[in-house]
Amino acid sequence: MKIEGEHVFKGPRQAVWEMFRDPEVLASAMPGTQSLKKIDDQHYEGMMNVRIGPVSGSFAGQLTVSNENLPESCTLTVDGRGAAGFAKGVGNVHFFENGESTTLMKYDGEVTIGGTLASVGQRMIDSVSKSMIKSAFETLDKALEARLAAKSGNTPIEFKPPTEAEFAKNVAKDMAGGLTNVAEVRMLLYIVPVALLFLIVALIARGCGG
Amino acid sequence: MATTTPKVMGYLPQDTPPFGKMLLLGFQHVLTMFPATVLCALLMHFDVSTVLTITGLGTVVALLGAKFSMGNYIPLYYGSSFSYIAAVTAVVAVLQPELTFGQAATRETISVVQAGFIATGLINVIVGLIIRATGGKAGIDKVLPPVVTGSVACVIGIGLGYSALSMAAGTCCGVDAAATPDLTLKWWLAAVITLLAAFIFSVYLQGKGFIGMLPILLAGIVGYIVAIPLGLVNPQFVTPFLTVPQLTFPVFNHPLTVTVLVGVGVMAIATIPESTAHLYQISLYVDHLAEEQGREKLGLNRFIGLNLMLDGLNDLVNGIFGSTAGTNYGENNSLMVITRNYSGTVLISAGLISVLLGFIGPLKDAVNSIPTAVSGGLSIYLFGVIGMQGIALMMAEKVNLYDPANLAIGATILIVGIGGNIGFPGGFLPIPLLQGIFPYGWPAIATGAVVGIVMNLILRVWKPPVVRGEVQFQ
Repeated sequence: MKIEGEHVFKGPRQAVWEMFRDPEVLASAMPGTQSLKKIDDQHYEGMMNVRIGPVSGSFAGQLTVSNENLPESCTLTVDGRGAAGFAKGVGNVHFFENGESTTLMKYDGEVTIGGTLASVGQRMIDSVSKSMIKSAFETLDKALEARLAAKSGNTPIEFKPPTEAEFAKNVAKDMAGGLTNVAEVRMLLYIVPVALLFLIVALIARGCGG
Repeated sequence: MATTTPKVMGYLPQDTPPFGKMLLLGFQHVLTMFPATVLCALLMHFDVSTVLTITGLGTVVALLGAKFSMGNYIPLYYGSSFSYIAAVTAVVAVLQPELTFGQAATRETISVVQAGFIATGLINVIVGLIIRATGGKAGIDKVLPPVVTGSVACVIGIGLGYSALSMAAGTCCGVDAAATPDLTLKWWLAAVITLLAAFIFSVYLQGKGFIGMLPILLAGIVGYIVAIPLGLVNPQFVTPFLTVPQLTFPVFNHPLTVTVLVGVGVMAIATIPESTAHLYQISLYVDHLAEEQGREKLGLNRFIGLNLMLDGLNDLVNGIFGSTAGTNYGENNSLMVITRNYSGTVLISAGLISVLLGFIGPLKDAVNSIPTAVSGGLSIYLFGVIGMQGIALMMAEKVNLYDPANLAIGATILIVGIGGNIGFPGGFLPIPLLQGIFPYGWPAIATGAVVGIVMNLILRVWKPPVVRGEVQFQ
């Protein structure tokens, strides 16, 4: 599955980069992350709980940062394995100065999943990953705001990463939204009121016609 | 809306031609669906005006439904379906045995019958959702394989063979060959000339443009003209010029209701493969035009489930207001292919024209004056074609007819359906079980279809030990 997109952070590039290289912030952006240990500057190891539809399980994985071109770009490689299957991914991240001290982040990558996770969760993987990315950026935005506030000496803004349960709730909400994009479901939303309307017209007409 | 003028002429579903052209193209659609839809109404004893108005409304509602749910039109016209004639005439014959061809049944009778169209509509909607949930046609093929749907289509057509002949001979309508041999010969003459005209027009007008689309209409006109000197035409223009189509509403508390819900409802399975085939066909041509115009292909064949839901919605509209259950018309597909016009708004205008036609009284009177013998001649051809289409479906799907499982399923459906529908009064099998539900006996075609489905499910549960390979021979 291909993943690509962009996001604008409200902060200078250097601050965004520093946040991005802070394992604690990264861990908080990926809900379900139990731990993220720094092995060295390029390698991290961690545990993560993931739930996709009916499948859930913990994954042990490595995160590698390579091709670092400070503070412009880097490549992230993820390799996770667990009882429910495996997930591998490679992604390129670029940060661009965007004026008014904002930073444009562009990312593109390729993710492969396998095992039970893939066979059972296949239909939902798209919506779930979109949800995860959306939620991750929401968290990172808040984290950045908190870090910048702390730096400038203002009252620090309290930053709390979302819990796993909150994240699951958001995914469910996004998926319900995704469901109304399915033509057949929208059709049902059309058929029911139209049929009811016609039935009411029919009942009224019958009443008038005797 | 077309943003640029494409080099290759033609309209994709999202395009709207200029107003005058739109009306003209819409009128062609109406002319194309007219003969079959009107004949269905006459054969099933429904009011012609109502059927024209409500099938038009059903088409508009279905097109708007597609636009709402997937953002574009699925270009199909929904007329009355022949698949329901056998099941409906059986019920009408029980309630009003005195009716002859073209005589409209009473509102009470139609109210009982139209409940069945609601059932068939709901079945289509549910099957459409199942197809979506199971990820495509493969799922439905397990429950309704082509050997079942093809055989049921055969039964629906061939099972009407006796009706067609009795209309041609006049025995349907009190003409006795022994008492009035001259009159009987006149009926046969009108019927045979009509049949021959339909044969010649449909073969030799192929590829001759729009006129090639109208063999049945032209044959009907020839038969009508021939029947005038034979004294078989007796037009009575009694309806005022502007008339309001009679609307009737379904009832669900009649002793025959369950018979109707089962007997008519099950016919949905015959229209499902037909409707899906039409979607595939039109999708192919629409994408071909898009490619020629260098525009984005639409890939309408992705929407098998949605297409069946649209079919069901159209049936619901017809069932609620007292018209005949419908299906999308292959005739109108052919028209669109010939004129390279797949515009959704043209189809909507066609639907609206049909709605208005229902308000024109003399049109109804003229249609009602079509001699039964002429309709009999057309019916020999048209009912037979439904049967042949069932065979064509099995051939296209490469059903292995050397496999004893397929043979047994097809054989049972054919004998129970055809034998039962022709041999027993009203097409009801004299099985004295479940008499509370089926007071007049079991509807033969539906029974045959259900037995076939059950036999197929047995094969799914207990896998047969040997599956024979396809036998090839030249």
